[in-house]
Amino acid sequence: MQDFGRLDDTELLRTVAGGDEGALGELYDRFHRPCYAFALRMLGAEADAEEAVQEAFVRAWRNAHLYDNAKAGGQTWLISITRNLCIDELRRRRRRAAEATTLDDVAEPPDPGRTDVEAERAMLRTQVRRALELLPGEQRSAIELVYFHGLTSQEVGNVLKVPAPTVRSRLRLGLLKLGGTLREQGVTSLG
Amino acid sequence: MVDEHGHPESLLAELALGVLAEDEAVAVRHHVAACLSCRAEYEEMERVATLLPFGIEEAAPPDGLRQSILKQVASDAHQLRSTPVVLKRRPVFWWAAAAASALIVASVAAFVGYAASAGPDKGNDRAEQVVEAAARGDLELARAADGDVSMTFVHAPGAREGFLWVHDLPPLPSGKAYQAWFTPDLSTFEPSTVFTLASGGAWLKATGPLDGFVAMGLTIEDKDGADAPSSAPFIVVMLEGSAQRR
Repeated sequence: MQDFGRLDDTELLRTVAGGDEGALGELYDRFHRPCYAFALRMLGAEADAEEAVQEAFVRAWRNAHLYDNAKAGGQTWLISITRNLCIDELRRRRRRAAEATTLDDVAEPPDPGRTDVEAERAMLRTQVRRALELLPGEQRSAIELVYFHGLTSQEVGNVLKVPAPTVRSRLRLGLLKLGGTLREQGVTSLG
Repeated sequence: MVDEHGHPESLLAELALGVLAEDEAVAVRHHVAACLSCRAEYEEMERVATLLPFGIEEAAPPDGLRQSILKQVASDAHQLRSTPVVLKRRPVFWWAAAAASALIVASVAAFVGYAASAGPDKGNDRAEQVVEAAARGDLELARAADGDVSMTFVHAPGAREGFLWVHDLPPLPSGKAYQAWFTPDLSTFEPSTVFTLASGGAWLKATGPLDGFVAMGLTIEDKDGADAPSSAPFIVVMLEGSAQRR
């Protein structure tokens, strides 16, 4: 039996593209936690997040041959699929009242059996959260509403009662400031 | 949305965060590809956007999810597995396999936004048909992709014309054009629109309602078009609604 754990993300996705269900299992083991946390962050309900993650991995299975490691790492690719599904769901239920959780609400106790990879993720998580906290509140709100709720600038403007161009300006300044802060922390790209 | 120098700076963040409407996104991407300063800013924003998910505390889904996913892929492995759809000189029965592997996506709203505003057809009956179908929620939309090559096709129920959006089709040899074909049974093919844009949109016509066709594919033919496809299509999309009704 092949040891999929020894494959890097690109090799693993290539194996998934070849139709190996064992490789998909390894892909799931590697990335299901960030994908689920992300879906939970966007959708706010565990059942919806579970459904989104299931669909995301099924789509990854069907579309693994489209994966391009020059464009994104494996985790980024999977989260991108998850996010698109979540945005579709949010837009479907936009008019329904949805209870959004905050960044902190989905925290859970650290797993004592975490691996080095998980430790690296935890460090990156701390750095990204710290950088977000350093943003002016209006810039952070704009980024959160657009990225985690799939709203457009116009829609954010309606929520915050500011013109859309103001929202766009906040997004731009916020992202650039965030990038600068992360760069200062030594975070330049994803593994 | 552009500044006094013609740079779409204010839209770069929305593009990087993935919420810019597709029609605007296409224009901004074209600008970014040609403008060094905008490209640098966009790439920085895109880099930051890919880091945002890492700020979320990880959480574990229920234990049964892994098994549920593996069970689902095992059950549809033989039916839905996507395979590369670029083929040359393969027999006609390939239509069946390719059609079965085509992707169906649900980004109706963004695409209809494009279809409704595309080119000289804006405001005409067929565009209105598409928009009205989208508003009713019964627009038929299908998409196929292979690497950078992709196409999305939308049509209203009962319509004889649908709108095709293609991206990065293979380069055309001199004197050649792309031709669309509709097939009702995966063995006979009805010629449709001939066009030369490798990326862009075109209306495809059929002699009867599009709901009656199982799949649509593209081949490369002489610039005046052909009566029958000279080769297997290099990309095929399954017309899901038709298949379901059969």
